[in-house]
Amino acid sequence: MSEQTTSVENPPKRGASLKAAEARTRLISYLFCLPAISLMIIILLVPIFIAGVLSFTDYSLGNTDFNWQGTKNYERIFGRSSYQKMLWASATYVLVVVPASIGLGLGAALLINSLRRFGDFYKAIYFLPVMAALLAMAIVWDFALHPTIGIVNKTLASGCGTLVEGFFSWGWIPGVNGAESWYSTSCADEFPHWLGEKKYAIWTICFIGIWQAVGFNMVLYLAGLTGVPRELYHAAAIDGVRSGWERFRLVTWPMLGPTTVFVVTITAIRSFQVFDTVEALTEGGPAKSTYVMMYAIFEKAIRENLVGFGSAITIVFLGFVLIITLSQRYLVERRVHY
Amino acid sequence: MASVTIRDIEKSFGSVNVLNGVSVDIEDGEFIVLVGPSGCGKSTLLRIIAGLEQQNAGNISIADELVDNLHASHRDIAMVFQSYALYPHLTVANNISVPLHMRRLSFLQRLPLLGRFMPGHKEIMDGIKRDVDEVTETLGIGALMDRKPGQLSGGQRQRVAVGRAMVRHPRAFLMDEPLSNLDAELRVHMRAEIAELHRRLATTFIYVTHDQAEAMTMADRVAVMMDGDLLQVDTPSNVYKNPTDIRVAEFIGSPKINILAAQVDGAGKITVGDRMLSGLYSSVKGEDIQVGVRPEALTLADIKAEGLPCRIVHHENMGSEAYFHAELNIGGRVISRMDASALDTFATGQEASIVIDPQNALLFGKEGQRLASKIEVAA
Repeated sequence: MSEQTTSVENPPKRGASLKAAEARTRLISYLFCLPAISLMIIILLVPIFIAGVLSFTDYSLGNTDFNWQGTKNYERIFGRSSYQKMLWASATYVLVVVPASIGLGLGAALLINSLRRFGDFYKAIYFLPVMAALLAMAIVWDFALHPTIGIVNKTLASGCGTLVEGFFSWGWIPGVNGAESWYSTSCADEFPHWLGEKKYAIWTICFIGIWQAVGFNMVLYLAGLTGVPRELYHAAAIDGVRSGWERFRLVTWPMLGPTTVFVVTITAIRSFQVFDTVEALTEGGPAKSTYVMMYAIFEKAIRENLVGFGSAITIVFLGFVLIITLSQRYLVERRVHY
Repeated sequence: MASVTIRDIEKSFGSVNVLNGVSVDIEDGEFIVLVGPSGCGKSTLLRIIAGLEQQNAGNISIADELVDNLHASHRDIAMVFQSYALYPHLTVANNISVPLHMRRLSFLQRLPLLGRFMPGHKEIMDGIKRDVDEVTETLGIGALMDRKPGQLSGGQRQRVAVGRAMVRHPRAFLMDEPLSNLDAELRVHMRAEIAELHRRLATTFIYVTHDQAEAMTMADRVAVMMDGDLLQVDTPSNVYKNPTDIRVAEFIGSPKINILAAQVDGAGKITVGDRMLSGLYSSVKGEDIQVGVRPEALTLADIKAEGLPCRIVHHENMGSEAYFHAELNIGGRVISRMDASALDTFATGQEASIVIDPQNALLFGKEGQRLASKIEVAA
């Protein structure tokens, strides 16, 4: 009661001192934020800004000055055929690796989750490619896919003239001419040079990308599966759900929504960033068929010292990643959190 | 609507026995409550009836038909879960219609986009909508149809879960502690609502709870379970007045029953401490027994009265009645429930004596089994 009276008696004085105290608190809280904010600006925002500025110039590392190029660098990226190939290579890689590795990762997670024994064993096996350095594994793939001494082509060749060829030439299907099939023609001629032919190289790189990403996606989905309440499966059984497919559609898939959004974003960003397999196995070739963006940035900005042009590719690259991230943030996320 | 017969159900998880041969016959349209402390196996029994868990031995039949080899989805029973287990991504209307979708639509008609173009789809969907509307109207949740479970309160979720169970008119309702996630006030309200629902639907209800108040207020019959055994199946009043086992007597009733050590002499007369219980005789002669006395059968009297001397250590005023906690001079603590007017005479710290009403004393053997007693009213 007495407290109330004093506050009514001296409102202006008290209000003023309160305001001063508030201002001081605000200042102090900004001071506490300052190290984090300045670090963020210096190491995250400034480099991107510099890259953005350089992308409009012809700057090379070591030069003292540069010329403004306007949007010429960007016109080259979207106009010249070799950079259109770059965009195609990256798009193909992302559009193949993302759905395939997510589908297979989810499948592997569901299978492992249903196991009573050996689950940990399979987890470790599938996760091996994620743990192994991709550059080291690329050497193994290089050997395996060698056109003449590689184990892949040797295995394929050993099937020629046997039942294996008979089966995989599909000649046993009515109306199919077995002799014209891929397997039979390859047996007659030769098996492809997986990394050296324009027709196959990007798909081979995609295959290795999937091989590597499946384990990672599987682990993420396994984590997501542990979060699905068991009672929902019981409720579904009582409600008349009989088949595994219906159970998946009614409970598992909707409950994995947040996981899926995360997995799609992460896999897409990682796929845009593919570099090591390309550098180790194809160096962008043949005929720029595997000339993905990360490799282009490396080649232009580091090898050829065309920093201005490399920066322009970097900005385009960042644009793509930003689009993916924002679309997941605004389009999808709202629909998967209930 | 169907009877449910449970025969010698045994279940163990690894080396732990959860159910040791439980048998009970549940009549058509009966409301039976399985009650017991947590870990007594009551939920496991319910899940075995539902088909969510497989028993190690014994049989379950519903409507005189063995269902042991039937999947849960084929047993035609509904279940309400403790956590409600609503599908969080579906609206209230869709949650309630899931059981009908699964049963009435064919696999092709259920397909995500193509389903609606299959012949007969529209007629079935209209029928489902009618049935869902009927249920939501009965439960008073018509206004919530387009909300998701995350936007509902606990009581509303509870109603949706009941609606999902009701919508397809199952042969029996199984409820696994459906009220334990609600606050005390709502729990009392929903208790009455579920009992009313049972009266209206006249379907078999099997209800699991650890709350003896729920068991006593809702059940036609109460099945008391403890440590994997079914101790007693009887009406609520019989379970309270005539417990067959000391564990039942101790579990049912609040405040808890008072247990006093007693001796029976050669003539069958019973003494507690140094006082003889007048007019009460036991058939077990010359042995130590236990006497159970409900708090309302214990009254406080003046220190000079013919009773067990004690000291009141605590009293609780409940408004219309009062609980007195008393320390007996012969050792042990008892609770007496008396009319609130007793507060005028007795208070904490006072010396008094405890008088046992022999008509309402229950006799138990050393192992806890119920003993017969004979009452002779002195002329």
